[in-house]
Amino acid sequence: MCYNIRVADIARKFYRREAAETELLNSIETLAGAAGIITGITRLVLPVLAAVVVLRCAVSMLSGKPEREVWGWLTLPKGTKIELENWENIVGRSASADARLDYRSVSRTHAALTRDPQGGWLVQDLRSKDGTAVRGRKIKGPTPVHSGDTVTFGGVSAVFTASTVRDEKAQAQARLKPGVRIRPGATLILLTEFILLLGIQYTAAAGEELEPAVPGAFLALIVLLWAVYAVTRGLHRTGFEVETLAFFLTSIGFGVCATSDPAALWKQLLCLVLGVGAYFFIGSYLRNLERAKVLRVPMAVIGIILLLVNLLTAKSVFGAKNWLQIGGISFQPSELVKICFIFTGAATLDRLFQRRNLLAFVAFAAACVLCLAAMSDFGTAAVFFAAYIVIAFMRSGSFATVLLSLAGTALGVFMVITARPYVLARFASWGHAWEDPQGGGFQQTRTMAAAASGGLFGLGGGNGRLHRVFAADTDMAFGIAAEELGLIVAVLAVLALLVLAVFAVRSAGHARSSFYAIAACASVTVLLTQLALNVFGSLDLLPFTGVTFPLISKGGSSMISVWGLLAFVKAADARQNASFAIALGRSGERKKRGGERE
Amino acid sequence: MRRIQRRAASVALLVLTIAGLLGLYILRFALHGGEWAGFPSNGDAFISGRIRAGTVVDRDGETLYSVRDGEGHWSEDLNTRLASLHLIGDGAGFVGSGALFNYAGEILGYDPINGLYSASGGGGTLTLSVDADAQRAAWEAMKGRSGAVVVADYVTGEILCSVSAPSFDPEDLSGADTDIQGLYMSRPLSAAYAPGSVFKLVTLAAAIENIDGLFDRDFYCSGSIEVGGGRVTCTGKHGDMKIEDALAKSCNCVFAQLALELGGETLQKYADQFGLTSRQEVDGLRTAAGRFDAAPEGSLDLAWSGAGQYNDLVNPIAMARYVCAIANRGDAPRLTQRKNASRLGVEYDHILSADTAEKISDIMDYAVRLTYGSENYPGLAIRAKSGTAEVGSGKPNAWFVGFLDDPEHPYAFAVCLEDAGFGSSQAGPVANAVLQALVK
Repeated sequence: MCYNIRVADIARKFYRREAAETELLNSIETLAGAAGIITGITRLVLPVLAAVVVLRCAVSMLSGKPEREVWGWLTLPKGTKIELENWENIVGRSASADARLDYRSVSRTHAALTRDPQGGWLVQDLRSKDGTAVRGRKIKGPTPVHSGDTVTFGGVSAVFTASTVRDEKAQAQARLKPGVRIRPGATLILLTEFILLLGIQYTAAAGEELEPAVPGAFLALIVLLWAVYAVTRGLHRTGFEVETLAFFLTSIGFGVCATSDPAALWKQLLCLVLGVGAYFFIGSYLRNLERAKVLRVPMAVIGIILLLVNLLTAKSVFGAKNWLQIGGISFQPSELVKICFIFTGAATLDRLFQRRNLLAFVAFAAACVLCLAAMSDFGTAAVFFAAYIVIAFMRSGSFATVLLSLAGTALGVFMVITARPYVLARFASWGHAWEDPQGGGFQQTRTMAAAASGGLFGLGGGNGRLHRVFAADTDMAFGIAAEELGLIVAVLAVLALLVLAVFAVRSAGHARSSFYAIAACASVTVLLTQLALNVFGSLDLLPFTGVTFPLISKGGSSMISVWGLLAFVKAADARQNASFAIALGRSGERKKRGGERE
Repeated sequence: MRRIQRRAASVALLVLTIAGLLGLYILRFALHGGEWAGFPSNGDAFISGRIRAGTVVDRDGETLYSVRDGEGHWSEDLNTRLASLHLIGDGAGFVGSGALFNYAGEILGYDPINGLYSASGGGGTLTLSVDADAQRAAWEAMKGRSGAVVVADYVTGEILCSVSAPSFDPEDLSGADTDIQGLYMSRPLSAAYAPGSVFKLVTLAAAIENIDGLFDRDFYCSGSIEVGGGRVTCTGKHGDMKIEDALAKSCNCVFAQLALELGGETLQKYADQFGLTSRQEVDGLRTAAGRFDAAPEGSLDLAWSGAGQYNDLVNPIAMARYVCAIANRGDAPRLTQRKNASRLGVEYDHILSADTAEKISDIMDYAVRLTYGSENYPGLAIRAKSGTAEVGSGKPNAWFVGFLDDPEHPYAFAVCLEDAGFGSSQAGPVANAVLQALVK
């Protein structure tokens, strides 16, 4: 203390005021210089970390052939054994049947043979020509089958055998668990460094105007990341790539928010916590297929009610009437409806063959899209429509259905365009942004210019200026990321979502139920369509719409819904011990059920 | 499930589409990133219309503009600032042709790897092909008269001098008076003037290639000829002449006669071929287009159009480019305002046969010796043609175009002074002043 006072005295004596001021300026310059040096180094390191994180996840998720599982057998009279590799199997003459019986008396799609999580099996006739029988009795509805039962498909009899608990244990042990070859912990350490450096960049760039939310949110993000990892390990699951990629994207989104509206980071963080909560809740709920299946109708009702309430009461924000305000908190119901949409659209194999079910879904989807169009939220309408197309195709396999839907929609779009001049203007300026940079190309030209300013490595977090353009942190989020963090990181963000999508497609083929397969594919379709419309809309490669870049655009409702959607991807991940959304397998202590005869 | 698996591949289509679009964007980014970054509404490049960082220098490294401590500074010398205003631009965005907008990416130091990030904050350096000494010399010799001076290297295509008057001081915008006509316009780029007799270089090219025995023919000028109910007049009675004298003395009667013989369509074809009626490109900037209307056969208008009157208009840079082709055996280089832009090889447009080019060149040499006086251009191997273009009211526009037949100094020029008087006596000295500054 004493010493300090003496120093101050000396300073007062020897320094004139100007000198003191110069000193102050110098120290500020040193600070600014330090921020410059931090940016100078970290901007080169960030892309490397990001690339390694995405690559490690991609390799872990996509490398190697998915391992086969066998859950039962059909033994033909000649002794041929047909393996049942899925929980839901189509028996039929068709080449695409899971259990192929190439006999003339067997219909192309003859019957469905499905297993429940407890190991019980059901067989159901799929309106075959000659019918299906169990132990000689012709069946009508879904009928249980047990090991040793003779099942007759048309004129062909086969003996059914279910795998035993011991078989399944042996099988589970033989399968490779994810996270062995590429350790998620190491990837997480790299991601932690990435987030840490991001936090340092944005903190340093803010200088004296630093909001405590900036370092706070990045630190909280790291804590949450490791907490989620700890929970996953606690559940004895080793797959963590989906979460890693999601946290990677979220951290870039935090950066976008830190530069445009740092005070809003607390809200983003809160919504992230809610989103992660939704992720675990939905994922755990999906673990039980029976439970998930019954949600279909309630979810459809909730979805429609949300949209109708929205349509009738919401206020118009920036041209689209898709905001709802309750008790001072504004949110976008259409974001939550996405989850309802997936629940409603997904279906188990036995339901796929009932036309009535598909028609009900078509009506529901049409209602959703029309509601959104009535709110003038054409971007979100397009997102729902894309998800509808994928669901309809996966359920029906019919190109006719898809083409018919597309033709009908093209007509609708044409009518909307001609009726609404501002939508027409959007389409007219598409691809010609540079010809009208102060009009129809306003956002796109600025996005491209800012992205170019960033080069490959960016100007450094917090050093960009695109965020000053109205709504840039949602509609031009790719531009902000490219401007401040560089093209490499921005492209890696796009690639991260593409990796998730390819992973979902791969998982779909090995999911325990077509319900999970369809839900996962529809979820990534929602994410990809948003990504495409946001990124390429702002880069003038698609018409400009106001949809969000998943996890990167600022926005609370979107943050929650995207994490919710990711739960569906997780539920399709049938790799051994990978996903918390899939039960680990039957334990020996469980009560024996009908299907088992040890 | 196998079916579902196959159908799931439909999502892969979406993945491929996105990957394709991403690839397309990266390609565009690589090709156009510099232009995008230099977009005047880019906040990373400009702050309320002023460029954030960087330096512009002339071909010898003399600073014409630089940003220091966030403030833009032009040259210290007033005449340099005035002479180069339209080339560099002002900070307020009045002048659209300036390098500060059009080469912003380069000035800011854009490169596709680092974008506009520069660790030192100093931006980049744009080296223009112009010579500041020549700029000053041109400005001083113009003595306040409006007009354009263009000098280009006819081998490399580099523009060595580009001055537009009137001008104002970018350091003191009080001079940026909107009442002065065309103050913000770069006349070399954006003006189109009546060419008068310099257009005879076009008519001559057409005549050499289309009229047999042109060089053996005897012409006679009685001071005027009657055409289609009107009269084409000469400045004097030139008497008996060969074609060389007709150009050197700039005889309207002879060129009227040639135009009538060639016809409007043929003349138009040559004007088009020489790029005089279309917009020329200089590093992406486009010049004004000139004009040539094919008048009816036998008409007075046709006669005058061959002598550069009637509706004829030419742009100074386009004219200089045509002179480059005459000097360079018919090859006009792509013009540029950036030094060493042609490192990777100069692109030429062959717009004139080498033989015709040489014949015209020789006659221009003869014209200097006979009419303009080599002594007025000491030490310069100059070949030229003057023009005195009537423009309705007021004094005529004075033109002087030509080139140095000197491999050390391969310079082609076009000077046009508005409302100035005779071409050789008014524009000639300006050309001389600039060329002297350049060969020094």
